[in-house]
Amino acid sequence: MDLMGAGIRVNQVNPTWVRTPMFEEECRRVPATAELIRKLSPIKRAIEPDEVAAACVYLCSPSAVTVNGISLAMDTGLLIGPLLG
Amino acid sequence: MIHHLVLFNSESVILVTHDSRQAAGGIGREIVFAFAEAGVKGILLADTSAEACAQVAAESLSLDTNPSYKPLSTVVDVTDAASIDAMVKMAVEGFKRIDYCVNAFGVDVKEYVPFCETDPEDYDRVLGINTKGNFLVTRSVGKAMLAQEPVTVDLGRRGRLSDGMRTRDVGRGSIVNISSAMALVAVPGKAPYTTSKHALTGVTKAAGTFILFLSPLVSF
Repeated sequence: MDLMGAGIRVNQVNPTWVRTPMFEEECRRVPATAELIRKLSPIKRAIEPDEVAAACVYLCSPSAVTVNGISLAMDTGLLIGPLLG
Repeated sequence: MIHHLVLFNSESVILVTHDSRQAAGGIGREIVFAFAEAGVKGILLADTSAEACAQVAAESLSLDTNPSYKPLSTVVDVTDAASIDAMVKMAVEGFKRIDYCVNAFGVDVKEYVPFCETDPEDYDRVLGINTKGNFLVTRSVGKAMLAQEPVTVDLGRRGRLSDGMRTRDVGRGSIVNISSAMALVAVPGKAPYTTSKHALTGVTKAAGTFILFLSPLVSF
């Protein structure tokens, strides 16, 4: 046993809006959501589920043994801070 | 191909929990497909709906890249520790080990209301699934991972570049919780959801530390 200890890594991914049934329900409840995303998001769309899945493949893979306890923000930079102008 | 982007272990097995009835099903489905394409040997997909997860498991059979690939599916209630333990037992009995676990279930609030209008019962429901559910699954899967041997992978072409290093120790397993940007900021009208995802960060970090504190070589 080395300093990896038990050798179990635990991480999380933190996407903004993902195109799922939950998101579709949110758009139904708040119809302005789609327009809000177009205004706020640099990519002007919701995140696709496959983009979240790809991040999970990386975090589980042997290429990511140094990554533990992180929150991977998938926010297109929205959470950097207020963007004025 | 995706397995060219990252090093991937073709002997690995993944447990995916998702919830097709509770609206987050879209991500779990893509996770199953992505790992099948990446080359896992087995997937156990667990869902609240037997029909939904059996269908996704069947669909993954047209995408897998591992000749030994086998998808299994089962029903799970992530608010019930006994149900979760049974799911983990099924994965271990079916595949001998669990290398990866991705938790892709989650629920939204029943209605978007100002903070003070939040229904305490809805608060308990959302945190019970989004936070405690992830805690219970990570706890049970963690026990199973601790009981299995660590894995070493061949580095392939990457090994030619490093000084004599042909293999890499990758440990006993990796768990990923699908959280949300609402773990980092708040938006109006979603107090239970925002709280549940902030708390999930605590579950993830606390679980991440057990690689240190349960090590036989670490003593205080």
